[in-house]
Amino acid sequence: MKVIEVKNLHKTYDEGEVKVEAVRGIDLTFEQGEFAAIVGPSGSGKTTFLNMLGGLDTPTKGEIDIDGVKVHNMKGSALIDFRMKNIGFVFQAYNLIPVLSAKENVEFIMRLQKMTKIERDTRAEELLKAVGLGDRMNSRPSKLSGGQQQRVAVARALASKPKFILADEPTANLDSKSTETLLDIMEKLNKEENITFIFSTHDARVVKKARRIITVEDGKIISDERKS
Amino acid sequence: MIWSIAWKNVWRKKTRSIVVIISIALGIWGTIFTYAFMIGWVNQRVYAVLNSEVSHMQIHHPKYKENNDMQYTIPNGNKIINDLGSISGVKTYSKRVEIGAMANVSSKSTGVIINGIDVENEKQVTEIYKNIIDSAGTYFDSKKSNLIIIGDKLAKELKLTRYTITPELISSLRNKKLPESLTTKLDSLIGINYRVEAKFETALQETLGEELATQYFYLIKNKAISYKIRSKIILTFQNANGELSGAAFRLAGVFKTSNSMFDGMNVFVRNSDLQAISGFSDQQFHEIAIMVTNTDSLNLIQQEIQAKYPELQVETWREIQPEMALSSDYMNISYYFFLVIILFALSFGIINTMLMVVLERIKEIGMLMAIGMNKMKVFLMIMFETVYLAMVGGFVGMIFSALTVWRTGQSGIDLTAFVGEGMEAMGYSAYVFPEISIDYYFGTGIMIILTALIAAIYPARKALKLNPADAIRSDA
Ligand SMILES: Nc1ncnc2c1ncn2[C@@H]1O[C@H](COP(=O)(O)OP(=O)(O)O)[C@@H](O)[C@H]1O
Ligand SMILES: [Mg+2]
Repeated sequence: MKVIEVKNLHKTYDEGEVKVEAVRGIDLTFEQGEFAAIVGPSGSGKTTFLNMLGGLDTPTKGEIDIDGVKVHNMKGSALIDFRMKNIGFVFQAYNLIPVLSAKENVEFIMRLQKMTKIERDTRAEELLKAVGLGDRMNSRPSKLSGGQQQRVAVARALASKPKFILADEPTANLDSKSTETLLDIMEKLNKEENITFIFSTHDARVVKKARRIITVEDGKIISDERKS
Repeated sequence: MIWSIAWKNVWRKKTRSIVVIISIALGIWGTIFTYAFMIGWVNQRVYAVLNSEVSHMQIHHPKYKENNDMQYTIPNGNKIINDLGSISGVKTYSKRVEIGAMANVSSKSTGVIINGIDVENEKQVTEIYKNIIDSAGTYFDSKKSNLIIIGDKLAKELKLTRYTITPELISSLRNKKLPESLTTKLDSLIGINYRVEAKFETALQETLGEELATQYFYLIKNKAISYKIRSKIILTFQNANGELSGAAFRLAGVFKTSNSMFDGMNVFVRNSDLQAISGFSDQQFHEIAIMVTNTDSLNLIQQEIQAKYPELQVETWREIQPEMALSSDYMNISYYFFLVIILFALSFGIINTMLMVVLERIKEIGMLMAIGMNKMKVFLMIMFETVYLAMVGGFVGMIFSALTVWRTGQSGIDLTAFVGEGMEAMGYSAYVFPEISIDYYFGTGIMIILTALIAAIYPARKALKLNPADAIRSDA
């Protein structure tokens, strides 16, 4: 089942005199349950592409269709609402609200979605256990390691039951041990719960785990391989 | 949820928040306490005006006050006195004869105003009888004729005072925990009488040394003073027929109000004694002073009396002492004016702090917007945070104000050592009892919240302008 369909996507940053063509003509589709890596050197346009997929940035040209919704036409609070309900985000850093505990961070997005307290409680606990943090639920982010923080971010991203999760270099700040743990958890969620993950990286160890590897260079796709 | 995150955010940078809170608290405390001090001061003055000097209302012949010409007695005065009792809202009233005179004691003489009064009625209207200094006589308690009550200031001018150090005085100073070096030195002065304040002061300086003497002069002086009760005072004046007249009076008591000018000018004698020498009959007098039951209806009562006696001058204390009424009325407005200035200054600190908050949290705010927190909620979060910060500061400031106002309002602030005589010369007490009504606290609280809301707008708008993609990418 197709979740995302991207057609002829372009993004040009207009910085006065210089124009940066960060993304130039990407066509892609993602299926439900994919575990896909966007790979490419720094500056190749990965972040720009993911931001547009997630509705954080608007394309200069082209179309993004998420489950039948034309995201490239959306604006303002409708877009914010759409993001909240359909897309889970994991960023490289600054994922969590520092003054809230791990559990409250996961609950936060469910509160925005106006879920009931019981629903929030059970789901937050369930998700934190799933990412292996059942015993750190009441810790604030500053009391967690970088890897643990990223796992909370994954749990938070899952909380809203999104159609897919976008993770922009989620392991960039992690050591190899934490990187492995995080990827194992993501892989497990993908296999067992059929969660769609789209993540960018330039780390070879992360690339190895992906089942689909999309390589970009200069804002264009140069290869798109699937492993069986 | 937003409000609880905002509350927790306030305490993220504790030191910075506490600095802002303390500055707000100090600003608020300074404002409230300053005004409590002034209000207490003015209210005491108003109390004195109403209860010792002017009363709520006065009736005169319309020409009397032009230059206090004593020919202008109130026409049909006794009829008015009889009528006043039936006017509703009038509580008490007293009639007075007022005559300008010279007061003589041996070689000293000075100008005074003789108030010829009906003692029992006067007690209903003024509280001078409560202001008789301890062990300085009584307020016409004796039945003897030709008694006179004078003020402390006049007693000093006429040299009817004496300064003596007694063993009792020294032991009372010891009880007050004054330095032992002071009390032992004073022993050498026991029993010596000083007639003049200046001589007494010199003696104190010689025995105690410059420093101790200056520090404790006021205190010791007020304990050492005594008055020569039963001294003879000669009053000389022109009588009703324009002839020079006069008589000797015996000093019965000395009063002291917070207004030393009043104390220096006014002497009180029984009207019955005065009639014998003044040429005025029982029917003739210059002034009726009135107290009402409820000051809210003061103007209505004034109008009623004025309508009944259109030929007389009927004035409330506000008309007799307009500057006093004005300072009392404008206290409120000037308070808020002052507060606005203070809050305006504080708002720069608040804006600066909140701008730093937004700047520090660009990535976090970007993340919040990315995961679905809408602009309204981001805006509210910054607003709440600002309001909390200001409210905590305001709350601390108001609690501190309430405590200090309460404490000093109980004990009074003693300004005698600094400005005592100067203030009293202007009619203001040298003991201030700060007071401020609860309305000021409510008003201040609302003003603080308003200030916070206004100060929050600019930083909150900065946060709103952030674009999540740029914010997360930013290297700040
Ligand atoms: N806001 C922006 N304004 C101007 N240029 C930008 C902006 N964001 C990214 N770029 C440029 O777009 C190109 C792609 O950047 P990016 O998508 O961040 O690449 P990657 O994530 O692969 O490192 C880079 O040349 C970068 O400098
Ligand atoms: Mg990037």
